[in-house]
Amino acid sequence: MTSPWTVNLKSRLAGRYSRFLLQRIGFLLIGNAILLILIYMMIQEGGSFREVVLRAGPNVAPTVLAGFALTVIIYTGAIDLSIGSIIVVAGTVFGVLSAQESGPIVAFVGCLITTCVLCSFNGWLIHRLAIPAIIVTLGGLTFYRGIALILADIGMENFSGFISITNESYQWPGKKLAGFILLFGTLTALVLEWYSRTIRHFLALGSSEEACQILGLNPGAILQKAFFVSGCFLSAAALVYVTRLQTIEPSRMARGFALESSVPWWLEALIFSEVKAVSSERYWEHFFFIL
Amino acid sequence: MKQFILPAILISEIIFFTWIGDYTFKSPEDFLRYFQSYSADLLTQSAPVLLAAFGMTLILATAGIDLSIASMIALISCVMSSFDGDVSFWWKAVPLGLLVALVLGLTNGSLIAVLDVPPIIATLGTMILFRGLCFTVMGDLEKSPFFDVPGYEWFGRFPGALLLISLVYLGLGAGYHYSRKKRELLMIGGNPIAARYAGIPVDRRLIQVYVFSGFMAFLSAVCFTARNSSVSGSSLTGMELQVIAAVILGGTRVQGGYSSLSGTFFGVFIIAVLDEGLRGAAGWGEENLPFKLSYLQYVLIGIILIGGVWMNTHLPFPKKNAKSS
Repeated sequence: MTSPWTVNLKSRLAGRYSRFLLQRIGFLLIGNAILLILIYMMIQEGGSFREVVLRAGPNVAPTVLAGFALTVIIYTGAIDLSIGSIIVVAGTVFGVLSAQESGPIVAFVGCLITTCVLCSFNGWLIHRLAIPAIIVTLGGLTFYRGIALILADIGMENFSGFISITNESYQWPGKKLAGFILLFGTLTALVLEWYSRTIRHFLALGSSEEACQILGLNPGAILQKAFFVSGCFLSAAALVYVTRLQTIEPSRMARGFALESSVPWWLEALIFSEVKAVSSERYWEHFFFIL
Repeated sequence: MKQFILPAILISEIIFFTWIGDYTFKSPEDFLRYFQSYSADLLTQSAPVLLAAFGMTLILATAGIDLSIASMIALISCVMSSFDGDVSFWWKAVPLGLLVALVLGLTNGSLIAVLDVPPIIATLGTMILFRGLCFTVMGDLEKSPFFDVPGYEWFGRFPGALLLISLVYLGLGAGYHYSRKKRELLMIGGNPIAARYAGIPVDRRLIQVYVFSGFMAFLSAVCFTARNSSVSGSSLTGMELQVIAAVILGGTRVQGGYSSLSGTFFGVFIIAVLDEGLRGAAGWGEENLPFKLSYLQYVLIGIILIGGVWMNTHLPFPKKNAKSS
C-alpha cells in the first residue's frame, strides 16, 4: 500500500516538474550513483570510501556554492566571468585584515561583504552601462585581480606576492564548517527554488525582458537582485575557499574558477542539447550536475 | 567620430607612456630611432595575438566564440616541438603542425555546425581537451628545438612578423572586406535563420570559419615558437582572453552581425602598448605610486575593455548617406 507521504510527494513532483524533467533527474541520480560506484572500485587497499565521501563535501564546497551563485545569474540570461577575481579581492581583504590582526570575525565579515558588494556592483554596472554581461565581467576578470594586487601591496608592508595565514583561528570556517556551510547553502537554494517568487522573476527575465516589462516588472531591479543573491552565495564560497588556504596569492589564486563553476551548466547543455544557457530547469537538477 | 576612438586611445597611450617613461630625445633622429625600435618590438611581440585575433574576429562576426584558441596554438607548438631541430623540421614538423591546426579547427567547426553544440560550450570543452593533449604530448618537459631549425628564427624577428601580418591583414583582410563572404558571415551572425532562407550554406560557412581560425592558430604558433624558442604544456595559458578582449575592444559585436578587422588591429596594439608601457614606466611608478605600477595593468585593461565597448556601442555610427537623409 502506498503511504500518503509518497502520494503527496509524487503529486507534488508531477505538478511541479514535467515528465521529461523527472526523467532527467532520474538520469542524473543514476549517473551520480555510477560515479560513486566507480570511486568505490578505484579506492586502493587501506583507503576508506566513507572518508573519501566525507572529505569530498568540504573540498567541493566552494565550487558548488559558486555554481549556485552562477546559476542565479545564468537564470536571468546574464553571466559572470569575474567570480574568480571577486574571490581574489575577498581573499586579499581577508588576508590583509588577518595580517593586521583585526580579529577573525572582522576578517570573515570583510571577506563576505567584499564579495557581496562587488557582485552587486557588477549587476549595477551591467544595468547602467547597458552593455552585455559577458563584456562587463570579462573586463571585471582582469580589473578585480588588479585591484586585489594593489590592495595587497598597499595594505601589507613588504608585500612579496603572497600573504601567509598562520593563525588557525582564521581558518575554522574552511576547515571545520565547510560541510555545514555547503549544506546550509544547498538548503537555502532549494527553499528559494521551491517557495520564492524571486527565482521565478529571474527566470522570467532570462526568458523575455520585454514580457517582464509588459507585466509591470522592472528588469533592471530584477537583474540587480539576481547579482545580489548571487553575491550572497558567492560570499559563502569565498569564505570557505580563502579560509582553507595557508597562503593568499592574489596573482595566482582562483584562476579558472568561473569556468570550473560553470562546467555543470555546459555539461548539462551538452548532454541534453540545450542550446540556451538560460533554462527553466531547477536547482534540483543543477545540484546533481554540480555533484 | 567613432572610427577615431581606437587610434586616439592608442596614440594617447603611446604619448603618455613615452612621457612617464624617462625617455630623453636629443634630436628628431633620436626620436625616430626610438620610435622605429619601439614599433618593431611591439609588432613582433604582438604578432601571435594579432594573427589569432584575425580568426577570432571572423568567428565573433558569426556570433560564435573560440575559447580554445590558446590551447590550440599551444598544442600545435607542442606537436611541432616533438621533432628534431634540423632542416627536416620544414618538411616534417611544419606540414604536420598545419594539418593538426586544420583538424583542430575542423573539430570545433563540426561540433558547432554539424552537432549543433553552442560555440561557447563546444570550445570550452575543446579548450580543456587540447590543453590535456598538450600535457600528453609534452609531459612536464619544456622543449626548444626551434632555434636550431635553419631560417625558422626569421619569423620571430621584425621582417618575418611584418610579412606575415601584412599578408594576413592587408591581403586576406582586404580580400575578405570586399568579398561576398563577409556579408554572408555577418548575416549568419545577425540572424542565422534569415541567412539560411537567403540561401547561405550556414553550416559550411561556419566550418570554414573555424578551419580558417585553425589556420590562423598555426601561423600564430609559428610566430610564437620562432620568437620564444621553447614551449611547454602550460604555454599561452590565458591568451584566449587577451585575444577575445582585443577583438571586442576593436568593436566587433559578441552577439555577431558586426565585425571590424581594423578595429581588431588597433585593439591588439592598445593592449600591447599598455603592457609594454607599464613595464617601461616602472621607475616612474616607484617614485609616484604607493604600489607596483605593473599591477595597474590589470585594472587598466578592464577599464579600457569596458570603456571601449561602451563607446563603441553608445556612440552613433557614422552615417554614410547623411546628405540624402
